[in-house]
Amino acid sequence: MGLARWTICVALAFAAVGFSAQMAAAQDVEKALEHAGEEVHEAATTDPSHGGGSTDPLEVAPDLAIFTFIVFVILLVVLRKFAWGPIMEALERREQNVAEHIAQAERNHEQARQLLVEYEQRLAGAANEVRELLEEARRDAEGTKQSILAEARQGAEAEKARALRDIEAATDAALETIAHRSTDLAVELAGKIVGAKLTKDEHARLIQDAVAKFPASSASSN
Amino acid sequence: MADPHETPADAHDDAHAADAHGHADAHAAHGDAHHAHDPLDAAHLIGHVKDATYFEFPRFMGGKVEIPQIYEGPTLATISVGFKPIDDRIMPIQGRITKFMVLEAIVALLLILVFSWLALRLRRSDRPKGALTNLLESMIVFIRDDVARPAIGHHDADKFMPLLLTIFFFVLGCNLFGMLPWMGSPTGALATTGALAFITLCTVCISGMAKLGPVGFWVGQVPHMDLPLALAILLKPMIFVIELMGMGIKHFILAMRLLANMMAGHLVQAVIMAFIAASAASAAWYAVTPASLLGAVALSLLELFVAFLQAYIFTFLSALFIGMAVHPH
Repeated sequence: MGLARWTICVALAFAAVGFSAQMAAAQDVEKALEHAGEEVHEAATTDPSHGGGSTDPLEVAPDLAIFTFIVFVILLVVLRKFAWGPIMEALERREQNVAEHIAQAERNHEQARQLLVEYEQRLAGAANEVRELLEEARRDAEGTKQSILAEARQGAEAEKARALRDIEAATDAALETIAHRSTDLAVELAGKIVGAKLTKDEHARLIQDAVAKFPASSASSN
Repeated sequence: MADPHETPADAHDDAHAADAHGHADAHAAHGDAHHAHDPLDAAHLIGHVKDATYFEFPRFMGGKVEIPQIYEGPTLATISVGFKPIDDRIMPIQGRITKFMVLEAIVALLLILVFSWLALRLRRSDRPKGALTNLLESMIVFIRDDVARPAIGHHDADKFMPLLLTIFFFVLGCNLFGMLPWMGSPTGALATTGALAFITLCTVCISGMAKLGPVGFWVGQVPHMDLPLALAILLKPMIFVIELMGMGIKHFILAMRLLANMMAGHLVQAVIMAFIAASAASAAWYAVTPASLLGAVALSLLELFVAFLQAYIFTFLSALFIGMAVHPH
């Protein structure tokens, strides 16, 4: 494909150049070649209108040199004022900006790295703290449990002691009541048993004793 | 290249202007019998590359266009240094406006427009935008970082940046104008390259004297040597003269290098195209034409590269010479 296009291009150029050269110049050049020998010599030596003059490439035209010098100096002055100065300044400024941005980015990066380390440390610290808190809570709970247990145990002991005291008191009271009753019964029984054998006086005295005791015993039983 | 039969006597005569042509191929298309001569004639070929008082376009575009002249009187002055080989080559001052002058002025105007635009753009926005901006900026930064600073030193380089940038872009512009059809390379004339090299020489001397003192600079041209007094009195003036000559030659070669590169490129181009005209009468034309066209395309590409390369070399050597003057050791 590339080759075909290339060939077409070359052929077209070939044809175009060929056409124009053939049409316009062939005759001209033929004539030129006929006289080539003498003309070359003539052109270079005698006739300045032929061949363009000197072939010396080291010719210096002072006009051109002076003109070049002046143009260059003007160009230098103008460009220095309106172009090179502002351009160099702007480029320096941009370079500084870029350098600053890079430095800033490096600083930010370093800062971020430090923050990361810090937070990692903090995170590790927090885990430890949590563990400690849990430990402490567990310890507290254990202590609370122990104290509650102790208190409960104490409470129970006190209750028990109080119950025992109550029981004892009740027992005492019951025993007293039983003693009173049993005395009365014994007296009654004894009276019943011995009543028959008592004399009248003794009987009267016993009744009086019993009457005298009655209010006391009834009061104690109530 | 030089024709043994030619004499430069009448070379500067305006009359030669009447017969010079644009490019060889355009010449072949001229049907005028007046132009009948050998297309491979050296004087004729060089005439295409040399400066002239007219522009040459193909006939359908107006043919030869004479540059309007301000002064058309006789020769104003002739410069003579009293040494024939040099005097023969210095043309008389005629006060004519030539093609290369016009082209230089166009290059200068273009540079002012383009770089003022760039400066304006940079002032408005700090961000590099657009292909042209980036292209120009990268060239400027290249001249600063890879030419001026290594050659002159980081501290002093910025002072010479305007000069080096102007040299680079002016030479590049002049070189590239030779790539445009019907134009020419002002750097293909020794007067142009010589003036530019002279500017470098002036910069070298002035900056050297400003840095090391007027005496210190010239004394510093003689390298330091541990010589017995008698020998030093004898040798040092000789070395001083040799060093001065060396300085002159260095800058002369600077001008020659650019001239030779630009002129040779265009001359070879002209010769290759002239082959077409020279073979027009024979059957060989059918073989010569495509070969010449391809050769001309290839050479144009090479010349495009050389235009940039020589602008760079001229700037780099100028920077190097300035650097050597400012930092002699």
